[in-house]
Amino acid sequence: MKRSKRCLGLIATALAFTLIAASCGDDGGEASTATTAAPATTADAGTTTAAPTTTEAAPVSDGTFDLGGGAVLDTNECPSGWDDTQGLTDDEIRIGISLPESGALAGFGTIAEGMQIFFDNADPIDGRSVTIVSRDDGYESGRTVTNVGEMIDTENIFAFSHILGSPNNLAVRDTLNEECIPQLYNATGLPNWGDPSNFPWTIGQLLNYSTESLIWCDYFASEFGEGTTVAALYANNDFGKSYQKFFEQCAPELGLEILATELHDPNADTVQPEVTTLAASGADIFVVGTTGASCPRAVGGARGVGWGATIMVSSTCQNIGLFWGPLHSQAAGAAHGIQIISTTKDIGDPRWADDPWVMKVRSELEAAGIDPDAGAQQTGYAFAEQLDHVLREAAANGGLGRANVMQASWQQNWEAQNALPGSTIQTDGANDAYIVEAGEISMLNLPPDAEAGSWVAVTGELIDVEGDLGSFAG
Amino acid sequence: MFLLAVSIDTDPELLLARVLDGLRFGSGYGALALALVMIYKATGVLNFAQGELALLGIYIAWAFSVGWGWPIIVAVILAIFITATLAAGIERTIIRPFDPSNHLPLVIVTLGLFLAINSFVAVTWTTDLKALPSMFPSGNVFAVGVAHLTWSGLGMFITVFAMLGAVTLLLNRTKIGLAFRAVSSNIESAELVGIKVGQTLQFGWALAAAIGTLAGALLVPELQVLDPNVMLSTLVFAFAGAALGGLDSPKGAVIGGILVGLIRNVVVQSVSFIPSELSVGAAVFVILLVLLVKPSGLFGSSKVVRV
Repeated sequence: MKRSKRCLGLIATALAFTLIAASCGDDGGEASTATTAAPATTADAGTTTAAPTTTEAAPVSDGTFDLGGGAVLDTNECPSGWDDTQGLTDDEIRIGISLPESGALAGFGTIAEGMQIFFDNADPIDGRSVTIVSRDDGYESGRTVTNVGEMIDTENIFAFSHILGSPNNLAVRDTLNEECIPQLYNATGLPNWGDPSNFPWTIGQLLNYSTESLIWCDYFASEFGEGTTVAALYANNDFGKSYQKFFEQCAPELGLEILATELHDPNADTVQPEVTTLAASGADIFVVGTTGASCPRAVGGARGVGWGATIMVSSTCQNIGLFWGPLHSQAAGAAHGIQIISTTKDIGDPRWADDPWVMKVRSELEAAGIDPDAGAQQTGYAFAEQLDHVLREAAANGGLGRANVMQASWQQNWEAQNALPGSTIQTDGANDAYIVEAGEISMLNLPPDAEAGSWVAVTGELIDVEGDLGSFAG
Repeated sequence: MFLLAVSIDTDPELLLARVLDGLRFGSGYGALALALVMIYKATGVLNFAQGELALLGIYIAWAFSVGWGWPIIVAVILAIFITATLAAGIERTIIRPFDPSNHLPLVIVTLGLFLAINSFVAVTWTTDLKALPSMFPSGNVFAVGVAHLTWSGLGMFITVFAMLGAVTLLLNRTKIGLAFRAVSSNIESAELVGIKVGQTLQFGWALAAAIGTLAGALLVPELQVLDPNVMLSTLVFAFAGAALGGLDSPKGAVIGGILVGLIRNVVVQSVSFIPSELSVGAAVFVILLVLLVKPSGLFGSSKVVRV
């Protein structure tokens, strides 16, 4: 079921405006960052389409590739010595990734492991297996730069995929575009990743933060009414400030009143000082625009002081085993009822218990000795579906090559098995530069006496703005 | 005339909530500061690995309580003994070979320990978030608006002062305490009167690790979730508390930690021109201010030098 046309129109108009404004205006902090994180769920391998047959590299007669909407990828601008098939061997495709395996967001550090499990269980792509080469950056962008440089020099990398964190991806974007190395499916929702006209070698994957903020506004206004009061906590970096920027634009337009806003140090041991201040505002809704351990800390802190607000958390905090199970162990029932925009099937949701994709995730992770309900391996497994699909598409249509993989990334039209039913993945270069553009409002069912939780749909409506967002450059 | 526009939140319930938060977290910082002071008092070295030794103890306690299902109090006591033994071993094998009067190599060794222990914890127990049960009952002693005094917060506060009392008694009323104070005062003189300096310092390291583990086991449940990063910023606040109270004063460490907790939760949050996201910056500011204005801290002893 789709959301009302009026709401969709409003969201689409607002999104288009804010994205253009973001691209034209001073996006300083945001353009230099955003933290972020990974979504949370699972993905599917089901989409693993049939094995391709083509082995020739993509034909690059004049070296240019039409990405759509006027965006062009020109391999003539690549450095001398650039090789379209670098990182491909007779039996291997080498993919690089830099992740926080230590530090504040270390919980996301097992994403690469989940990706590798996916590919270990998948059919070969054009006769090749996929090897994920991972490095720890501790969520420090300087280390991401070092990691990417080292991997380019020593690891024979074909492409980078799902590097986590906006500052981290921003730090390597220029280099990878100058070197003509694919920077695929950044694991962050910064809107900047949808800019094929200026950065054709870079593409994001997650629901972008501007879209998420605007869906929040629309949902709060339609479900709770005008005059609803909101208090918000954001991480003090480009990730959190991206939420803040877009939410503070749309909230007044839809009659929401922001009573209090607090930024927190992403590396702090607690967010209780900020949460206590926000709780004192008595707002109806508490927006948690942060990620990592700060997500459960914010929710636990709010419930601990008796604040009964409706809590909406960042989509980056969807992973129940990673975030909400530990909080539940500490404070039973504290996370019960929190809400989120889900974009993927939660493998703990009873709705999907018999879903082929969810069953596949569970069985393959368990076979690898991993608890599918804990850790970020399930997220990595889901991420891998997107990479797998495009590699196969490129192999089947022109052959595996860096440029052809980018063209396939900017020209997608398929249904991912990890995505919610009814949502599609479509891209068309500058006409439609975002991959995930649909989600539903979900509520965490994790009462005090429950052993495990699950996300359940609140309205059952799929909020889908597919194709309405254009690109970052407008 | 220049008027500084400063607005301060005056809501009494909010102020009470912040004070209670400050006392709760501050007593945790004070307990870890006490562990720092024990090493500094004996050796003049700031142990940068103190927080990570506590982290190791916390994870051991987690393994016993959650992994093996043992009562949390038993798990914490066992963790205390294990980390104390480990710290004594570290002192004997890694610290003692270095010249105690040359502090720089020792500081570098503790930094190395910091990284090694943190990595060991991450590899052994993974970086996934975990929950450490509290040693105290859940629920509130009282609640007024957003101000809540929890049983765990009250229990932590009382335990920290009980720990301070026990340490004070240990140092002042026991033979090993006397030896520790003698070594702290003058190593050469202590050696001349027959005190085994090495073993005494080993005792100091073990005691500090035990205190740190208990501090962590008290504080972490208040932070909702446990991860290998949890003691990093906590250590900064503990350093600030130790500096404020006096680096050689156990009593000063605890009171300094509580004051830092109050500064973070009350002052930073209440005064409008201080961004709340600068809470760690506030701790560093406290350290700088103390070092500039009163280097010995509130309760530390001033150095007297014969000229």
